Amino acid sequence: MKDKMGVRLEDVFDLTPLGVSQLQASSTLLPPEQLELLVLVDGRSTVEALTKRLKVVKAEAVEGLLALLFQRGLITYAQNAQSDNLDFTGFFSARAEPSADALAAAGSEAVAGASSLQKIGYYVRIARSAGIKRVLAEGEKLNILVVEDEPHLSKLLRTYLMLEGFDARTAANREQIVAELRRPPIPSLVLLDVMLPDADGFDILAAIRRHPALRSVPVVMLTSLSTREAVLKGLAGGADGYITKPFEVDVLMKAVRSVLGLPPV
Amino acid sequence: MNMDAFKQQMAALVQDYRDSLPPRLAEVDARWALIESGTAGPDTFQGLLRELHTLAGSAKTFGLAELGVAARAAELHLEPFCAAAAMPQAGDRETFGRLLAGVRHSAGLPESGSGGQVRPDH
Repeated sequence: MKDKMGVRLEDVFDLTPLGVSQLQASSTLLPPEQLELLVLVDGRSTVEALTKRLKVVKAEAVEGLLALLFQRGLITYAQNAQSDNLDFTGFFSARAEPSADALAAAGSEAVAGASSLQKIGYYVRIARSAGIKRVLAEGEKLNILVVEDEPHLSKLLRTYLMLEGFDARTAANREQIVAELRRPPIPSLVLLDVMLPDADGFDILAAIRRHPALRSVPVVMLTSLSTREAVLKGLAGGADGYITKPFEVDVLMKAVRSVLGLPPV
Repeated sequence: MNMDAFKQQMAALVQDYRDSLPPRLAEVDARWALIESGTAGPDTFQGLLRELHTLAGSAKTFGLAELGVAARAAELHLEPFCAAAAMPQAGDRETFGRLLAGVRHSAGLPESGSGGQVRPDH
């Protein structure tokens, strides 16, 4: 199942606080099949066990539905199971070359993105900014991975994010990126510098989008390039937003909250 | 984290960034000296470009906007030579030297380079 769908039969998922509050709410906008799956997620049952208990959802749809629930912050990998489930073999093996179709699809949005970057310093892609609005449960903290090799900037970002109520961790090179992605929980968002000492941010973006457990994690690129071409490359590769460097911290926070579906402060 | 602790951390971080500039710019000078001497390989070009790129992308966030602009100008001037790891012509070297002096000036350092220690990479 893992090779085909990216989720192993032995994977175990658990509800996030948001998932719990969704189930406890008096009404929900979730479609019936997502709700059926969400009700069954209990932090103990494997995907195989869940699949056998489903009545409405077809077995072949489980992986996509789990990805959706994960993307919406309703479920996460069960803590004890996650690190064993993440396989990073060959994570950096391929270079990022967006397909011609992806480039064409992103073309018109890239113009608006470049214009926004030059005017206000950030851009959140249309699909993401119009997506689901997230409401955090009391005490819930989203986890942000900052990939940045300038140590002062990395520390500044971490400090600001923590002040804003996020959990934040940092990585500066390939080895640290893999170590942090392997460490639970899976980040709610990755802030990704483009120019790193031993890696290209666009290649890392491509690796994240290929990885079964990470592909739905939002990624915001930190870049000094605000050209249409640079934005196009990121959009076609699956970036959810852009922030130009040097950045104003309040601009960065606006972009982060927008991508995560959180209301502005 | 309360606001006082946050402000203290930020002030310390800004000071730490400013304190990091002299050794970083000494390394920039040393790499440029190697390039000027004709003994630099691609790693020296890339290392110099990376350092300028990092300064350009970070200085303004730490309250040094002028340094960021100066570093960006030097980065953009150097970029085409890095792509080819080719020694710039005399006129371009002179221009880059002036841009580097501007970087040092913006960082509050003497405009003439101090010359750090970087070993040739080939």
